[in-house]
Amino acid sequence: MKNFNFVFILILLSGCASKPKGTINSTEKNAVLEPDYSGITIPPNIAPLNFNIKESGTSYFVKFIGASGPGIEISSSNGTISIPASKWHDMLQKNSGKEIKADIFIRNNNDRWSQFNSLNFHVASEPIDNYLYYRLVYPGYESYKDLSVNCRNLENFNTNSFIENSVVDENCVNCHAFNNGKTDNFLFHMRGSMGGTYFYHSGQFQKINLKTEEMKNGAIYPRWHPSGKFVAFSSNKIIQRFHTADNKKVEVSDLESSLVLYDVEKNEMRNIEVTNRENSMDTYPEWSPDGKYLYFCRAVQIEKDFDFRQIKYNLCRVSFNPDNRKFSEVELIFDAAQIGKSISFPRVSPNGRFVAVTMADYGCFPIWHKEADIYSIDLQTFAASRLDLNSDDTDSYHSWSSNGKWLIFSSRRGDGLTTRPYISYMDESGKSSKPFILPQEDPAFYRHFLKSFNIPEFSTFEIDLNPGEIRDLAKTESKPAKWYRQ
Amino acid sequence: MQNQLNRTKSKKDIFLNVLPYLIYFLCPFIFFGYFADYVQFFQEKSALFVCSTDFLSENLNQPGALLIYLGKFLTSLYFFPLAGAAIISAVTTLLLLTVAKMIGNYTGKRAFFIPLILGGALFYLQTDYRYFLFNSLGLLLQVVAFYLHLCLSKYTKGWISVALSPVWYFVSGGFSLLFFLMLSLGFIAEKNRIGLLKIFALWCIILVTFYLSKEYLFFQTAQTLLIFPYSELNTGSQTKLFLSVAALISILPFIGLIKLKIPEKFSLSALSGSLIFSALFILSATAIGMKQSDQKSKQYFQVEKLFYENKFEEVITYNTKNKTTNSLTLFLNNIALCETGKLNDLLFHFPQSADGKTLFLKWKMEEEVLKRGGYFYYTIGMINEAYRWAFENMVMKGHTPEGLKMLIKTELILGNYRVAAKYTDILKQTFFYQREAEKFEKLLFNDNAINADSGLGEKRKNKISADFFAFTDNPILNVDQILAKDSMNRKAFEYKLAFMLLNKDYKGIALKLPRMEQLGYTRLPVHIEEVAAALPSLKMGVPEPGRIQMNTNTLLRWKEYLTVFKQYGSNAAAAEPVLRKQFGDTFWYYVFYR
Repeated sequence: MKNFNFVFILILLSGCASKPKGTINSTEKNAVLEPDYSGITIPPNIAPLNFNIKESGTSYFVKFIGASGPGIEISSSNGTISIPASKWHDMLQKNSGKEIKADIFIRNNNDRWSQFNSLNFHVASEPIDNYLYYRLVYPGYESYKDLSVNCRNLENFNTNSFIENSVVDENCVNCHAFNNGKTDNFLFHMRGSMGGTYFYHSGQFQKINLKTEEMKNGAIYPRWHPSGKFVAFSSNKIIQRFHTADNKKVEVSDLESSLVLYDVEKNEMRNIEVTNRENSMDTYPEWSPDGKYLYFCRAVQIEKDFDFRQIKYNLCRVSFNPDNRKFSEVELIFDAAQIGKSISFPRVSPNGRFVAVTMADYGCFPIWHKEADIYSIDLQTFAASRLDLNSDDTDSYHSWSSNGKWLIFSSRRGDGLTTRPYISYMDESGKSSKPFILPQEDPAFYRHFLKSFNIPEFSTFEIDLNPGEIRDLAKTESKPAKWYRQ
Repeated sequence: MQNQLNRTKSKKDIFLNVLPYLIYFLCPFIFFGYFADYVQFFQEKSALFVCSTDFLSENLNQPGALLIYLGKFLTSLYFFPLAGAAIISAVTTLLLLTVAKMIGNYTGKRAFFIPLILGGALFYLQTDYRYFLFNSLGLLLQVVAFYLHLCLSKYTKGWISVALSPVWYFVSGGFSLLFFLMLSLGFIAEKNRIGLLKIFALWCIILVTFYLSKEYLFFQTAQTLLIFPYSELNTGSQTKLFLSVAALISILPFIGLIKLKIPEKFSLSALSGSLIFSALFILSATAIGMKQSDQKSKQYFQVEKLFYENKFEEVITYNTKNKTTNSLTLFLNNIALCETGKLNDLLFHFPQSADGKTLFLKWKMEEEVLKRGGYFYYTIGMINEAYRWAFENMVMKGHTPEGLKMLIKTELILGNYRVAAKYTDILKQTFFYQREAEKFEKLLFNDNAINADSGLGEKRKNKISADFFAFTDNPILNVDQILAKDSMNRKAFEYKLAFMLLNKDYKGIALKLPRMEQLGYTRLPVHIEEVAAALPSLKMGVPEPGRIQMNTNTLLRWKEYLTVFKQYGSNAAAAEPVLRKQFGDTFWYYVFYR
């Protein structure tokens, strides 16, 4: 017992020793932090924002102070600030809608403490969805070994992979899609020997072959109708080519594309008959939250000898009648070609007010385009504005949280190669805040990790499936979809 | 006197005990250390051991992955071929020693025959450069585990082995089945109900472990969970032999129980047993070594080694001395020729493939193609493409030392420093490439340092700047595109000329002649001169190569060639032996006879 007390006192003393004392020099400098969490707005339920202080020193001390208390004090000998989860959540809950600041102190070799400028962030009162689904894939070209779709609990650091291609004969898994992240409707495609589209719908898990004889190309990019009864797909013929000198490595272009509608209950595919379908390339369907409109990107059908840099997609929409599955005339929502841009990935905010899109100089696959940025189009005024969350590098695939307050997107701003998930707060007027990278337990995680976070999608629930169940279903024959005949 | 005799006897006993194992160690050591070090070279270059927790955790993702990790660790020491030879030999010897001990444990006699058979088979397996160390390591671990089980069973009655079976399955994956079989046979040998109970308990635990692994822990297919990390590919497609060895090991407890009554006159003393079986092993090892020594592979990997070290002159010299028809060796040799500016001087000094496959490799999602094909693009300045090949290979096969270096070099040339830094960090965490990593690290975020670097600076200068889409299936189209957009890329031009030479495209070459002065040539490459010399005979005009003078010696040699040809009545077949002897390394001979 005596020994225990002695050790305890030693620990206490050593804790005290790493706290600033004596004269503290104020540097009035911003400490270099990894990741940079300064000036951001965070959800009240986000996992601890652990970070590294990238300044030389022998001891580090950070004191978090919330406007409504309580504070957290963390000492570190190597600059890694690991925040205790329970204290962190307690602090965020008590400071919801308020500011938190973190005072940063560093002790130098001469045993003197310096204080750097405080790290400030705002805690929003609106929570973020609990889960994030994303695909981990090497930012490469054609091969796709060790590919997985993972579920990350955003309130902590727990991550589970629920699809792993190593258990399904190295097949490619892609395009996981949820029904607004709210219900238990989701799907993903698998390409290869176990190919098919895997639907999880109302507790049932099925493998469907969506490509019927009548379809020229397979069903690719999906979006669930809010009713869960339909899924709109684009049916694309895609080519992938490799730049030999440009810094964008891959160029993906559609040669053909059109929209199709899958009736989940009837297991039935049909064309989405829209005006001028034959002369257009329609892709990236997106439903309005009320299910009354189908948004999509449209470009003029290319000729045989086409210049890929001239393919520009505009944003269009048609109204939809779910009773008779009929669509209205095409309405041009935003003429991106007119401003020399091309639109992809339209995502309507849950309140139906905005549609967030990626705009690049050309084409419909902007993830390798450095100039690609995320824009918000106001559906009342149809005006587009470039969001503040963008960087000089690729900012692309994005997804709204179910409350419409958070936007997650892929960005290559870190190293120019791998995409990382960044989260930004979206205010009522559709403006974005400074984004922050998805926090990891090890703040140096992104420095070493070589895979990209692909297709980040929020979800409010954790899918009750594991790779074993998907492996078992993958072995079965896929059920063929029927083609709708009038 | 008696003491001295006893001491001498004891020394003799020790020697007799050690002799066979010394032989088991020395034979492979000599073979791999001095005759087949290409095995270690290939395996060391096939994987990269990284000293990091990330790398460890990646290797804990399924049962048996730890064995691969251990294999990679030991294989990284193959960087020094003699250390590699020692490791291969030590693993073999330890396995045989343990087997002998195990059999001795059952029979009470010294075992000679089974270790000899196993030793020969293992040596044979390892002579294939595609047979990776973790296979032998997997076998060794099972044998050692079973021997430990035998040693401890006095105290634990075998229950510890039963209880630890899930852990052992996680460590050694499919190889652990051998241990479980040995264990079961060992329990059968106990010939009592407790033994049967232990078998029942063992297999119940294994089945539960397997079920949990499949459905809740690792999710792999039953087949993968049963056999990983064994694969046909990683045993050099020696499935039958490997499985035979594994089967023999798994029934060792059973063999140990067979009590053969050998007639007195055939039974061997310890002395004669040791000597006879040692001699037999030497003989069989020599026979195996001679049969399995693969000169073609040895030659290829020697070239690859020199190539990786950028010793291009030595590559050419080596290939000049050691003639080869291996298209991969010739592919690397042609790059070395191009890097030293001799491609069209010496092209026909080496066999060439008319379809161009000695000049460039067509894209194929196979390691053997991916890991080498990019070097052609690196040479001609298609840095993006060189990066792509290296990257795709990394995705398919994981990091390799040369692959990682190529990724770093290409990203440095392209100025993608943040990515280059990531790769450099990985290289820094290896045992034997730290120095190179530090060298690369000094170049990060420093354009001037890269421009001044003898290797990277030149590559950056020659990097193609006009973009086009790569033609993956038809590499020569890339060369055409480069030349259409950048007529000053001399290395691409050299390859274009070489391809035209292979295709006997005199007209095309003639049209290129006027451009050569502009490209900085002060003399025509030998084979191009040979074309130019022959053009008048083909009733084709010779375009003016600017101020570059034709070598009169080439014109004389052409006349001489024609004279010899005419001497044989213009009969190509009759003239061939003489022409081959005198002009076998010329374009003229290639045109006539290839």
